[in-house]
Amino acid sequence: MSEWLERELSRHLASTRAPEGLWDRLQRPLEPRRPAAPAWVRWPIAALLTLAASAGMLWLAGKPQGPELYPAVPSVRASEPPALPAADWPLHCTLPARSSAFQLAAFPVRKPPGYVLAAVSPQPDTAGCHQCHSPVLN
Amino acid sequence: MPFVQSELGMVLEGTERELVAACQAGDRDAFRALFELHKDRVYSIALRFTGEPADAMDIAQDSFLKLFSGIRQFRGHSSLETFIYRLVVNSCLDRKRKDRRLLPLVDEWAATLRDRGASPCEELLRSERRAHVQTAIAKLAPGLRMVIVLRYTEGLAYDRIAEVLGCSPGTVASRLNRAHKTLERRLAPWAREQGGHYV
Repeated sequence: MSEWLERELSRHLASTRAPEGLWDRLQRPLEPRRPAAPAWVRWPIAALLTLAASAGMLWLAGKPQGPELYPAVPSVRASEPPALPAADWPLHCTLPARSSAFQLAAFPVRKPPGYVLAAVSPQPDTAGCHQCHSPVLN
Repeated sequence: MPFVQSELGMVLEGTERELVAACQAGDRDAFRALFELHKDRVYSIALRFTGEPADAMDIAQDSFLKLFSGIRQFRGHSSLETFIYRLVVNSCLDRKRKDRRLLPLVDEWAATLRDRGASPCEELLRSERRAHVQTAIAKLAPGLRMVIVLRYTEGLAYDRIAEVLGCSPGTVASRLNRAHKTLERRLAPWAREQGGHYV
């Protein structure tokens, strides 16, 4: 087996301390299971949930496209930044041409409403990182 | 005899046999002492096997409840340590495998960026490495993963792992070999790509 694998396994699988709350959890009496609801209660609830889920799917399908294209925390993981013209990226720095661990994420912002794009990638020649972010985008 | 504990949770008095006898007699302090002696071991195995702290807490709780309720049946045919290892191993293997999080790296990175005290760059690289290794381990079959965890988390020898799992040392060696080869195959491209950028 490789030396690096032995080293990585020893490091990442090392023994750890149990959280303080474990004994308290053992002291808590187990909550008794509630008896299952009778069928005449379950069916109307299931029907209501199905209706709500259908309505939600219809609402999502009819929602206008736009910033919603970005999920809450999208990620691009690639050996190179996405092949888009630099001008199309509203970031405050130039991304490196090649990086071993490029990550991009969007963070939702409440005030003003919008999101911020952020990118981090290690610099190949130094121990540092490129870090940059965009202004709040709508 | 009371089982006195220091602030660090170390048992200061009582041998294993006395501790077990006191637990079998229903001594509450003895249960606490037994817990303090083995809590890190039980939690570590559960955490390294599942990769999820919440799941590890559930497994640890389940294992200790089984230990406390089953201690009267413990006859000392194996060591208490082996008995506890078997409990936690069975709890881990019995647990239904839950869906892994889709984007663990992004979650970790986002948490790091939110934490003003951490250096995003160092944490990114560190979490990247951790996540790569953990993902590779999580993809191993449960039987192979457990052998790896017992070997690297607990540092058990082959014959000890065999005793816990109820198989031969040869089977343990074979499983370890398969697990190593699989991990090497999955992690080698990433390790080459990282070339010298370890933090």
